[in-house]
Amino acid sequence: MDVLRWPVIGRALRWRHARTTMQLVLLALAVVVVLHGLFGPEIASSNLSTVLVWVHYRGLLAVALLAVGNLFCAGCPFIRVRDWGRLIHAPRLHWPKWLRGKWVALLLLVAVLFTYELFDLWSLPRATAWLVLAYFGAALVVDLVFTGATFCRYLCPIGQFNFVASTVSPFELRVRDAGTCGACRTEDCIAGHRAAPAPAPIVQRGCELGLFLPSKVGNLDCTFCLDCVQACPHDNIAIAPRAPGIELADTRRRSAIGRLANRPDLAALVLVFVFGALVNAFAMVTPVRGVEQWLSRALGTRSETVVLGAIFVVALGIVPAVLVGAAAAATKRLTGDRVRSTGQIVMRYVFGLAPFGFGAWLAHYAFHLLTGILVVVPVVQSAAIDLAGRAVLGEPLWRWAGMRPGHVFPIQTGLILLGTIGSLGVLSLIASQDEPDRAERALVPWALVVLALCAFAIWVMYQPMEMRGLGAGG
Amino acid sequence: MPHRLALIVALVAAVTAGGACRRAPTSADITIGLTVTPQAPVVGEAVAAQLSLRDMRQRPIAGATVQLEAHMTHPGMAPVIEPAPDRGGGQYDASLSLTMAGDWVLFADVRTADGQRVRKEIGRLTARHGG
Repeated sequence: MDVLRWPVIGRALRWRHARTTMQLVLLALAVVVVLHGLFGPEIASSNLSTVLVWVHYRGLLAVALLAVGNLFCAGCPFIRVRDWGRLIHAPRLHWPKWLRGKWVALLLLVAVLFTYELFDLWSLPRATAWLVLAYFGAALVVDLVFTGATFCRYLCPIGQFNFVASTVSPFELRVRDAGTCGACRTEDCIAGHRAAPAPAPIVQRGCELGLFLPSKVGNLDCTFCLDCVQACPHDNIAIAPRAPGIELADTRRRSAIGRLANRPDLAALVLVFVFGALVNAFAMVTPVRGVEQWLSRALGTRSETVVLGAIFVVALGIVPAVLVGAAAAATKRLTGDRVRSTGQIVMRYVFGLAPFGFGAWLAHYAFHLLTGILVVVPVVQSAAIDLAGRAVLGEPLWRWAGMRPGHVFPIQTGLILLGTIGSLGVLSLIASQDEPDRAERALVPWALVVLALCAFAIWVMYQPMEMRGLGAGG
Repeated sequence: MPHRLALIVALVAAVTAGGACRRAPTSADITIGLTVTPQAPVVGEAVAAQLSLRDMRQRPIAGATVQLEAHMTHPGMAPVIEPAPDRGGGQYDASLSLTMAGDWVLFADVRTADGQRVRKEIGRLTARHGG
């Protein structure tokens, strides 16, 4: 099956301006988010900036990743502005080799998560607008200096989140016929398409992230931009269905990525992705107040920055390291593995936690999306009153929100269980690949880790919500 | 084609954003006082709110239709909205039952007898779980 061959959707996706159209739609929304955020009401529940970003964008992004793939990177408005900027100034420098990895992006992702919690960003329309502007500015500046998709590949925190989450998406871009690629001499999918042989100019760029389709495996680092589809002169690229998550057990060398087992930065990214989901959800429920108060007393400080920093160090650093280290050591002992080190076992299995992490993110974002999906209606009505001075779209229907929180809990539980099952499946596959005769023994420690995380996630979702947010220090 | 699309999108965004930027006319003619009991409310328990409406000469405003709205600081959560009947002397009473722990912003939506309309923030509350 190839989605690009479907009658209507396929034709729309293959349309040369499909990506630009998606980008322009999201750019228009971003303009609304920024302007209403900067100049609209300062109450988060009444401002399109906070409503669209923290309720709708996050939720729909996760749903799109679950249902299709990395659609929001495909329609990224930051890259639309960057491309306009590059019409004026072409970048000349290459991103330094020593920075080519996910470490900087990982730090930025942690910084965004930390800032979000510290300043209660969800409650601050102005800050939300500035955050969006900062993304635009960073993408523009970085990619006007450095060639290729430097910002997407090495820096963008949202992109890294999407890359990891898209490993469990049901579709991927891949070649239709390997033989056609074998006979290809121009490699347009990565080099770009020229109307005539070089030195004629490139009329359609190839993959900016350096993914060479014949050796591309899975969705990691794929922005779903379809540049490769447009560039391939042989029409040999498909959007094909696949078993979600299977790529996490794939040991093949991947174009532009290498082998997963040799990428500690990607392993760390997956851990932050998984445990960040739990921290992000835990911060929204009542028990976190007790933890904060206890830490405040234990550390002898009232500084929220210090207390939250301690929580982050423990939850995103110490706990994951101890858990996966212990699981790997147990696997090594149970299987009698004398070849691989504990670290090598960690590097093999840790990727199997990604489906659970995605399930936890999805459960959290689904809560906000489902309980607040209709709030955009009264907020737009209210904005219309601000615009026209009268209720041109009717009186704001403030009672419109969405599902009752209690009704969402079964859905959240289902999503967490789905992610858990996905992780158990991937880990089981890894165990059976690595230890065909002792797969069960190899799997047990990791299965226990996943089940423990699952139990914690469901417990968190079951806790009463306590959403603080009166701005910094509030 | 992309340029035409870009132009259309830019126009739509500009019009929408223009609307976003204009603020509703606020009435300085009406001051709204608020007294809440208890000041540290518990989720699910009644919160008595007394609103005091006065005009610019500090005279009580009677006969207004008043609604008290409580919105969480997190966007997307269902608000609690209750009518605040006129008790005379410019006093309007409402009873709220906050549905979730956390920070709430209180708004008064006032329509005076002479047709003036005011909606503004009048206070904030932090609700906690009981027990």
